[in-house]
Amino acid sequence: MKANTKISREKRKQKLKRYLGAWILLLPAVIVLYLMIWRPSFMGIVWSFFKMKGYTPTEFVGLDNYIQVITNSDFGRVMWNTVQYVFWSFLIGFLPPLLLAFMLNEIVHFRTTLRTAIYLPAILPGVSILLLWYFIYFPNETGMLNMLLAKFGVDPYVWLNDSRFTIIFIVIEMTWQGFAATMFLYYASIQGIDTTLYEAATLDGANPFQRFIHVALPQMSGLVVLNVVRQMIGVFQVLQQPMVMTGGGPNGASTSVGYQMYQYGFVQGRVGQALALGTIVFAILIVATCFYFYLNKKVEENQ
Amino acid sequence: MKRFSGKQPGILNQIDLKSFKGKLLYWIFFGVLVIAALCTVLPAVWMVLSAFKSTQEMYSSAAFLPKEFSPSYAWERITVAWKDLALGRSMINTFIVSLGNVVASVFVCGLAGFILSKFRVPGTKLIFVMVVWTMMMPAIIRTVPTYMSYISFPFVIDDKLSIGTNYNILDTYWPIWLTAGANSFEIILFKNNFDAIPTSLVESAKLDGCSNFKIFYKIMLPIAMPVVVYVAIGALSVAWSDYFTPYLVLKDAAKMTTPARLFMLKDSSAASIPTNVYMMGLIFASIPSLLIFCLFQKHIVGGISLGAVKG
Amino acid sequence: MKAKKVLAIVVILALAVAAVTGCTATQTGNDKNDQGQTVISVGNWPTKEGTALDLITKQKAEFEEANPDISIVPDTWAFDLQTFYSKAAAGQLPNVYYSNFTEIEKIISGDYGADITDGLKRAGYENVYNESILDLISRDGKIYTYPTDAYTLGLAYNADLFEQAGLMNDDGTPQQPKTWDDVIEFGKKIKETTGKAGFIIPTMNNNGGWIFSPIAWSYGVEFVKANDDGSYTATFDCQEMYDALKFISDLKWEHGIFVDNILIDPDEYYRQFSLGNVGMILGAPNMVDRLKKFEMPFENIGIMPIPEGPAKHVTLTGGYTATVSAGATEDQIDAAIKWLEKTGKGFRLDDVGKQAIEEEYQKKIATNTAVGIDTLKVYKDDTEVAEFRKEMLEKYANVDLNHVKLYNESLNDTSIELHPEVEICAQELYGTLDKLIQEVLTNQNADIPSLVSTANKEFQSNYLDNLN
Repeated sequence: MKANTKISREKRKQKLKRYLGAWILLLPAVIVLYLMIWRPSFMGIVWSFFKMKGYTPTEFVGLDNYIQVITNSDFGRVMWNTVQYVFWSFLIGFLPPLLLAFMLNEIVHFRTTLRTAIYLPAILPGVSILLLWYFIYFPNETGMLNMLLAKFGVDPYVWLNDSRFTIIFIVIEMTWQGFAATMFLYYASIQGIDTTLYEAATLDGANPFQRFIHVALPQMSGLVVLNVVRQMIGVFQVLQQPMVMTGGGPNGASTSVGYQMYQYGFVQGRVGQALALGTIVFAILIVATCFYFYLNKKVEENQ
Repeated sequence: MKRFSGKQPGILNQIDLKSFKGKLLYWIFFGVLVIAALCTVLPAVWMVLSAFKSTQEMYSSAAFLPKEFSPSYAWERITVAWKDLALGRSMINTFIVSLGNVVASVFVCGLAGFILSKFRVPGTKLIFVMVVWTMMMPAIIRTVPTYMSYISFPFVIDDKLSIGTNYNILDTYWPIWLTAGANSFEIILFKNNFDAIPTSLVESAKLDGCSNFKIFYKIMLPIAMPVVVYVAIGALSVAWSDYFTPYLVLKDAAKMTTPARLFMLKDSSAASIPTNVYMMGLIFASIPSLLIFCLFQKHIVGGISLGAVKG
Repeated sequence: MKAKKVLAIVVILALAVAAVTGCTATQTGNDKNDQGQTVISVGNWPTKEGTALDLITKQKAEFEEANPDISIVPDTWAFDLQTFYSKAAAGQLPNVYYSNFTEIEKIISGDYGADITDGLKRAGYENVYNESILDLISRDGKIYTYPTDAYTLGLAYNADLFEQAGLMNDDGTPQQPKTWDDVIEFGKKIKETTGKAGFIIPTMNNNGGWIFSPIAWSYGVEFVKANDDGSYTATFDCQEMYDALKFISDLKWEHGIFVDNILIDPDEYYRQFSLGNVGMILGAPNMVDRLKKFEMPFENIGIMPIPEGPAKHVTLTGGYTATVSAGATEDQIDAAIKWLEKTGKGFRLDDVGKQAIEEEYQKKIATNTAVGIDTLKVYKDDTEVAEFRKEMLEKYANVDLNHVKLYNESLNDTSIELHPEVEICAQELYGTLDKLIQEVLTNQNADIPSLVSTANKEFQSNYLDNLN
């Protein structure tokens, strides 16, 4: 009996030591996240229930800020625009980085040169990129795309000024600007794939396409899932492009939630409403991500 | 020209490349990449060249080459940009900031990813869920409260409720480095990568008496090298492209990083400079990023086969 | 597991609550230093080496010598929307910070500016301000900010294009479009002879609404009416507003004198003007800082008074102002006012003021800024200051004074009504107007009355009924 308790105490002590050893290494991240994100975000969420005078909470008003945000006649439009941003960014922006990363992994000629060249958009300063796209989309005969159209005898098109497609054109710019970093991440991850797996598959008689589908992709699936989430979160809050390229126009056609938050929080000085909208976005993203993970799990189970 | 013999096995392998179909596929891949490279290089060259145009010309034509190129004019713009941005000083600052960013990203996020991946310890699951949630918190709800906490960091408590010692970390690089460390995506990324490494490897190292930190440093990081390099390049690049955080937290112009200096010159009316000088400054600011990428990208090589490590 | 999770979250939240309660804005930085001097930090300090920095450093040295009890601390922060609230909430704004009049609403409603009424009284500012300026800087009889420059919108034109279109007189002054219809006529002439656009207004980032508002006023629109019970009513759903928007719409669809790109942010606006792609825009004297970015040749810069509308002749006033941050002590306010006088913004014309005014023009010349366009008087009876300013202006002018003569003279013209911006929800209104302007410029068949009436209703329910 005595020996037993001694052992279990010893065991517990060891267990505790193991826990402690793990927690000590986890602690820096937890502290930094707490100080830099969790605590301030929590403060922001709490303040979204207050009447704000500048950034000083003056009086608890319950859901007033939320009601004002949701009953704003632009709310529906902005949400719908944001959904469109997310939709188009997946349709246009999801595949290119993944496929290019795989292709880059396959070639041996000029590999380093191509890798550096394709990575350039990630290095170039955003301001010059926007200057470039200003010229690409410029809506008269001096615009680059219109020059191209003119070669085929087509009249100049107004691009961003066409409110039906503004979001698509903005998403194309975002894709150009953003795909390089993502491609590079995929590429780094492909480098980590155990090459013996390909050999084994070849011996089993798999053709290149099958090797791509059954060997390479499954190894990448975790990262792809993660990137989908990140892309959704990033695009959902897109601010820079609509702000600089269209100012949310024409007539609100490209106003995103991010731009609306910026308007509330920085331009109009409606701090409480900015915080409330931010909290709404947070809630929507959590629900969307949970749903996505749930779907993902279902799909994996079915396979 | 290199032969295919140097090719690592992948979707295509040596046998495929002997057949016509395989070769065709290979050159299709190559062609697509060349087109992609053209789509990125031509605009980049255009941007660099446009900084050598006069401001009036820059906006009146999308032409590739400047109408007239005079070396003295170009040189004058370069020196003006260099001086206006105090580039010598600000680049050293940016370098210091970027180093801190790398340490914060790789060690804070890397260690967290390691623990979350390899240790089944109470509390870690909750932390992981919170880390995932963290990704979704819009920055706008925390921008101002975070800044407010910098004036007496880390515990913002008023006079009545003081816990420990607080420091005013404004006008230092700490907020920038801490921001780099508080990156939930990178934590998940590291966890994701470490998940692919067999746990048995960790256990056997432990039996050999390795400390957790040593396992992380000596085993996990080298195996996950491509991702470590990705994160490091990202952390370095942020210092060379993000103007907002430095501009917000630094007061002393002598401490500013290059992108923040650029931002300060952009719009404030009194200091506004001709646009092509500004573009010249942008080019200067992106050269270090390019160098960093060129230097480090060769470390993104696979070939550390897990089989070999296991053996 | 569930219980543990809940417990953990509660602990984290508890820690956060401690942080919330403690986080009130405190003015850090002492008002006195060890030597007992009053310390004030001053924003907008130049960052790059050169004339501007040298000049202000010299002024600082002279000032501190003349006032041994005051010490100036340079601060490079310049007003900027994305950082303003952070700095303000944490009490990190410079003690003296500069901004556009447009931001005053935000500053006062957030309590981020000190009440300087008494300080001004102590410094002898009794009854010195122009009526139209006083409206802008005070709330309920208290003054919260110190105006440093004021301006009115005028009609800026490109002298080169005017010359080509034969719109210049022999004596080097321009022919003047007196009404908006004239503007269209002038624009058509410019279009016919040069192929360039005649007249444009911005459409993005709330600048469209800002520039459009004086046009609407001149048609007889008033956007917002204050009610007796303290509420406000949107009043721009009216025929006058339809006409004003029709004028904008016609620029593009009827007369073809607008530019092709209708998404025009301030940069694009001044860029197209600087490049000589546009004959006329609405602009204020401070536009020269923007034009500098695009290196507009000085000899092409011209400006004249804003045209008259069907209802009245009215223009928008604006300007720059210096605010003393909230929580400043009396000593700091006094020191701030002294410093502002040192930099040439005061109402007295003593040697200090004279020197500062002259140095300011020297600085502008050294930084390649166009000089020659006069500004609106801030003070009532400052004929002396105004005379001296004018003298200096002419001494240092680097634009053709004939090109700006009409505007400079119009500053004394009392027949032009000076109208401040809308006092409430200005940015929200500008955003609403931006959308209307974009819609009529992209859609040839836009149904203006129904658009305006929807906008009016939505502006009322979204913003005026939800005042902060």
